[in-house]
Formats: sequence, structure tokens, C-alpha cells
Amino acid sequence: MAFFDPITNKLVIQVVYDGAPYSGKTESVRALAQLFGREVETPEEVDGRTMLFDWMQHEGGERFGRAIDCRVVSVPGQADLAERRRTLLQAADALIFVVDTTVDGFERSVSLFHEITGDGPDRVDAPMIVQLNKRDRLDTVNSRRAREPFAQHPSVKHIFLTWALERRGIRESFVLAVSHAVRRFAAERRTRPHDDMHSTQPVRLLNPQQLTAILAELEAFGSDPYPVG
Amino acid sequence: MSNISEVLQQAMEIDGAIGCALADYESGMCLGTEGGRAGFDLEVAAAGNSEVIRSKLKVMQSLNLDDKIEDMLISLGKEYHLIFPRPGSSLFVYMAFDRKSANLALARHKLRELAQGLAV
Repeated sequence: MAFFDPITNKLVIQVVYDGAPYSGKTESVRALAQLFGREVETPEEVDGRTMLFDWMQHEGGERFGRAIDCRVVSVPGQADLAERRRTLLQAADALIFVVDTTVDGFERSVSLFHEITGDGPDRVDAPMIVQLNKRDRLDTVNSRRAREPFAQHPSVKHIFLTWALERRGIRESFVLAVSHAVRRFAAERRTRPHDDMHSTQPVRLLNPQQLTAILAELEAFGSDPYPVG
Repeated sequence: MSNISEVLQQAMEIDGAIGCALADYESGMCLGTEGGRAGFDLEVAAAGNSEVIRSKLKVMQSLNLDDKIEDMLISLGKEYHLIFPRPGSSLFVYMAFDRKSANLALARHKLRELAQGLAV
């Protein structure tokens, strides 16, 4: 759940980019950073692949009289880094699911979507925005087929066609992800008006260094996720 | 249906246009902006006007008005500011016009058309 930062007095919204390997998660975060004039921090990268996460921070908009501080991460897509991914998914106030719509990559994306919307350990309850990515490529499934697996799911709030490398559809996806996270927070706040809204946050994204430390500790002490913050 | 930057560019062709934005009133964030001038930050304007829309919606709810906001007009001494919420979503088009050169009726008509044609 989003939270009010007691030091900066801003509303912090955590947006997580998830998707199958090579779907375009990192490209999406980089494209977003370019659109907002921000920097992306990638603590560990091997052969162009994200090993920990990509991090971007952007302040924009406002709600409850406070500026909105968006903390954005993308997860590593590799199967052997599933534990890192799972930890990062827990932080999501909103999730942007990046779909590889090429003929070769599409089914893998659909399988992963079923994992995060099923009852398994990777389940994500945050509102989702689906980016049907790589629409600039010639070898993609058609738009209708690309939408089908996602369109009826109740967690999916919007579906966008995106070209991450050309930055098309990226900003819209992000703003609507933040919008749904804020809406959810506002609804939660109405039901618990006197709560400090901090207690339900399983993973809080403070900064890239803290997040790197969390992931390192997680691997040093086993796979049991623990509360942070 | 038009994409966001096309719609905003077309909006800027309306006589008297100063600047316009497509924004989200839940977060106050912009999906796109066009125009503006020195000292007139459209991102700030959109965030502030999101509050205006939310306040009006709250008042309507308090009054049990089963209705929707079609548009909102704020007349300043030198400018008109128009707000067009997009039905069925939290998005709105916000636009500022110079009062001297704008034709308000035409601007409202044109903006309504453009807002309805947005593909989001």
C-alpha cells in the first residue's frame, strides 16, 4: 500500500514493472525516465540484463495536499532470479505488466501473467496496467489476439499498445498505473481514516541502496520474505 | 479515435489557445501537454485543477446529484480556463485561452469533440 513519507511529507507510490525475459521492462523504465528527464539506476547488469532491478524516481502530480513521489522498479526476468522478483512484486501499489507480443515471446508472457494472477506465491493483488509491447515489430501476434488473455481479468485496468524503444504508450501506462494506485489508497484511507497507513506495507522502496541490501540479505538468510520498514 | 499528442496539437489550433493538457484527476499527473508560456507550468496547472474537479465531484455527491460534469469554465480577467472531464474515466482535458482572441462557444464545441475522440 502507498504511504506518506514522514520525512518529506509526500505520498509515495510504488510502481513495479514485471514481465517475461526480453519483454521490454528495462526499456520501458528507461523510456519513462527519458520522458520525465530522470535517471535510471541499475545496480547490477550482466550482458545488458538486469540482475537486481532498475530504479527510477519521479515526483509529479499531487493528492491529499501532498506531492506524489513515484518510486519505480523493474524486476529481473530470469527464472533463476525468481526470489528477487517475488520480493519486488510485493512492493507494488500498481503493476505494469509488459507483454512481449512477438510470435516467439507471446505465450511465455501469457504464462507469466497466469502465475501472477493465480493463487501461487507470485500472486499480485495490485491494480495492473498491461503494456502490449514491441508493436513496432513485424513478427507480432495481432492486436485482438494480444489483448484476449488480459482483457477480462478484474485486476487489469487498462491495456496499451506500446513501442518502448520509441517511447510510445509509456507515459499513459505509467500515469494510469499511478492513478489506480492513488484511487486504491484513497479507498483504503476512507475505511481506515485514523490509521497511519503504514502497517500493511510488506516491502517499502526507500532508495536503491536500501533495496539492494534487502535483496542481498534475503539471499543470505534464505527465501523467507520478511517485513521491512 | 485520435492519439493524445494529435488531440493536444489540434486543440492548440483553436483561436486564442495558450496551452492544454490531458491529465488524470486522481493523481494530478499529465499524460501529455502542448503549448504554455513562461511562468505558466501546465503540469502544475493540471495538478491544481485536478483538485477543482475532485472538489466538485465531492459536492455533487454530498448533494446526491446523480449527474456528471460536462465541462467547467473558469473566467479570469484575461483568460478562460476550460476543463473537460472524459466520461467514464478520471482523465480530463484542461485548456487555457486568451480572452481577447478566443471565441468561447466555438472553443467549447471544438474541445468537446476532441475530448470525445481521444483514444486512451
